[in-house]
Amino acid sequence: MTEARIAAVGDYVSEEGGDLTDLKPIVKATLGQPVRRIGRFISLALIGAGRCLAGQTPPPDTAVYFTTGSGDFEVTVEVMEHLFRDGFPPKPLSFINTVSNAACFYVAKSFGLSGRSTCLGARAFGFETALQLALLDLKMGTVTSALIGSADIVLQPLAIHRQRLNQAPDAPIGEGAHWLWLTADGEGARAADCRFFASREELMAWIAAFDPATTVLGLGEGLDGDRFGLTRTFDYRAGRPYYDSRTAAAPSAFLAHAKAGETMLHASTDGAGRYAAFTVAA
Amino acid sequence: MRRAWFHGAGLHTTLGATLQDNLDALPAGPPPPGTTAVPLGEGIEQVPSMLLAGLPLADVETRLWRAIEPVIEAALAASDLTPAQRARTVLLLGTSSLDISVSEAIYARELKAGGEAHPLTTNAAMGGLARAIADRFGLRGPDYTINTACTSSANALIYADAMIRDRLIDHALIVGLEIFNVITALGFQSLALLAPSGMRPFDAARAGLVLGEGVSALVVGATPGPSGFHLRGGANLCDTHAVSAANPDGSTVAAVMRQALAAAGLAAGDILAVKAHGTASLLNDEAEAAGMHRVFETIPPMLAMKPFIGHTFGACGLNELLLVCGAIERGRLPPLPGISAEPGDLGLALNQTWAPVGRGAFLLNYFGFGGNNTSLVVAND
Amino acid sequence: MSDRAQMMADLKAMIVRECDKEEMDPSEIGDDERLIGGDLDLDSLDALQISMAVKEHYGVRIEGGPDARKALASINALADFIEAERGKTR
Repeated sequence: MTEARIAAVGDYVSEEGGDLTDLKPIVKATLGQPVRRIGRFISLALIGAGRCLAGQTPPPDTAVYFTTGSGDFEVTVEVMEHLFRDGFPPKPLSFINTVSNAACFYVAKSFGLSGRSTCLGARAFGFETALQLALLDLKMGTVTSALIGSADIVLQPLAIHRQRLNQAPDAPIGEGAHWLWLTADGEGARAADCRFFASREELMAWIAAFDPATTVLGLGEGLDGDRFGLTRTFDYRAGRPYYDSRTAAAPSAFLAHAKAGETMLHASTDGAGRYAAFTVAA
Repeated sequence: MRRAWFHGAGLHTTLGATLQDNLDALPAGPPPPGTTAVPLGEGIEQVPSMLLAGLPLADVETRLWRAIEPVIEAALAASDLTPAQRARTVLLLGTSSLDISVSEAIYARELKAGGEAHPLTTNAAMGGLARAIADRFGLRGPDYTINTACTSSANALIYADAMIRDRLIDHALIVGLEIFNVITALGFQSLALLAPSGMRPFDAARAGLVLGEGVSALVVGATPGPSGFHLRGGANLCDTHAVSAANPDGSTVAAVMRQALAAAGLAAGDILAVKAHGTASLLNDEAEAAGMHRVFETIPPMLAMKPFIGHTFGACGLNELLLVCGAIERGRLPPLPGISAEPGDLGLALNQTWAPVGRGAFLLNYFGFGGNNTSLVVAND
Repeated sequence: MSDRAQMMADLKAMIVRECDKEEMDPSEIGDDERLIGGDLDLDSLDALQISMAVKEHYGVRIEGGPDARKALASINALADFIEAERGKTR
């Protein structure tokens, strides 16, 4: 079984409804200094990672697994408008930040990391893919320390942004960044497993091995009332504004309330019969 | 031994629309680059480029799919997967530009139509394209979009191999994708990294890169395929020297090559040839050459594939791997006549003739923006 | 303020904005202070960014290589370069 210790968690969430929150002071407060040449997207990644590490120094060979629903919307839209609407070539600093893994670079640079670095996306299962590959690398011994994180930003005008996210005109939307620090060894809460299933039957066969008394179903994307025979549920999405990568909020949200011996089995579906599940043990 | 063994493949670059056509073009050496006229404001910018053979830059909103489908069909058709195996196959899409070419075309059309237009209102999600590919080809395994700039599809192979070794999967389809888009074209022009006269990696006359286009697909499986090629080891590290360039002292480049060799259980002396990243930019080549001299006491025959197909960015990992492995299967190394024929100021020369080569292990380097450095060791012995 | 003084103030504000040095006041940049690789902590990417902004705002192209190094040596040098290039087209 793939298993890793959760050494730390850190979050940033902000519902956005009017003028966007100024992230520069938050970056400065989190990292102790301003960071130049970054926009909202990289700022969010840094805030999430900084809050997760909270002054601790991870080993320099720590790897970064980063996921996002839509990448750096802000810089991509800016470059496209500048180019096609205004007729100017991309500015060098904007162009470089259009690669979504620029966020990984700034996280690695800010915390002195040189381990492997991956920016990952998946339509419904972005966080799960990042968590799975991190757990795989930890298990194989490729890495011994891993930062797994997410970031998704909001862009003005909000009406257009809701359209991009397929959200209703009055739906609450927000920005979020959620980071986990996993290590191969140690005590404490564990990220125990992360799996994908091609059908509900396969997921059910796996769930059958869990004790319903100590297992809490984390309500991920698309479940629509399906509880897989489990009675205890954990809904961290209720009251949370929409952003693509909110599944990444689940581990820390669960650990904030979990009792010793409890396990969250978090499930999501993509609406086409595929499922993803991961477990976090308190 | 469970590894990522190479099965069916498809490749479309400027050299040809099939893997066979690509390999047939290699003995002649790199073709001359073309230029593409890109409208910008009131004017036209001419950018050096090597576009897909036989697929003119027209009807851009559908061109991406017209490029992707035959390549993936070819890879799957040559892989003998049972329907059940195919349904369980995992997709790893390695790309830096995704479907931005389509988003650009939609936005340009909407602007032209007048009224309110906003970019990225239809296909904004990073995982959307991979999901569409998986659905189109009936792949029910999870899909992964790997977006690590110019190492994207090389990193995809490393992860496919890890999943196979850990028995998570038996088969993966790896796709490399780079389709011409205005942001990339003019972005590299803004960075002053484009060279109209062709790419001359490690050469004293190197002046930068030519934009390439390429789509590649490779099925890897847990058991050996006909070529015997497989990933023997790989490594990916982050170099925080600068967001757009590796450390020029070669230390970080050397570290990733050494880690890949260690993962493969090999020494530098076991490597029969090295495929350089070789962007022909001043900074990349300086760092890569310094790294080569740190790792190799005797430099083995060196290849650079970007002069053949241009820089295909996120797709270059798989595009260049298929070209190199295909040539080696034919018992030869691709020639770069007249490019770094003798060691210049960087002390590296490139292979000059369609030279014979035996079976063994080969090192491939890839370095990307965001400090993302990857080395692969592939072997067919 | 003379045209020259205004241009130099504008260039300083442009550099602060384009290179995201927003923690500093534009007037803190000395007229003859080294721009790239000096105390301002600007690098070759900043140099490209400044060149692009100069082209957009002043219609003057700064080519790469030694010319760019000379033009971007300081605010004074940049103003000299822009005035000289604009003079050529008049």
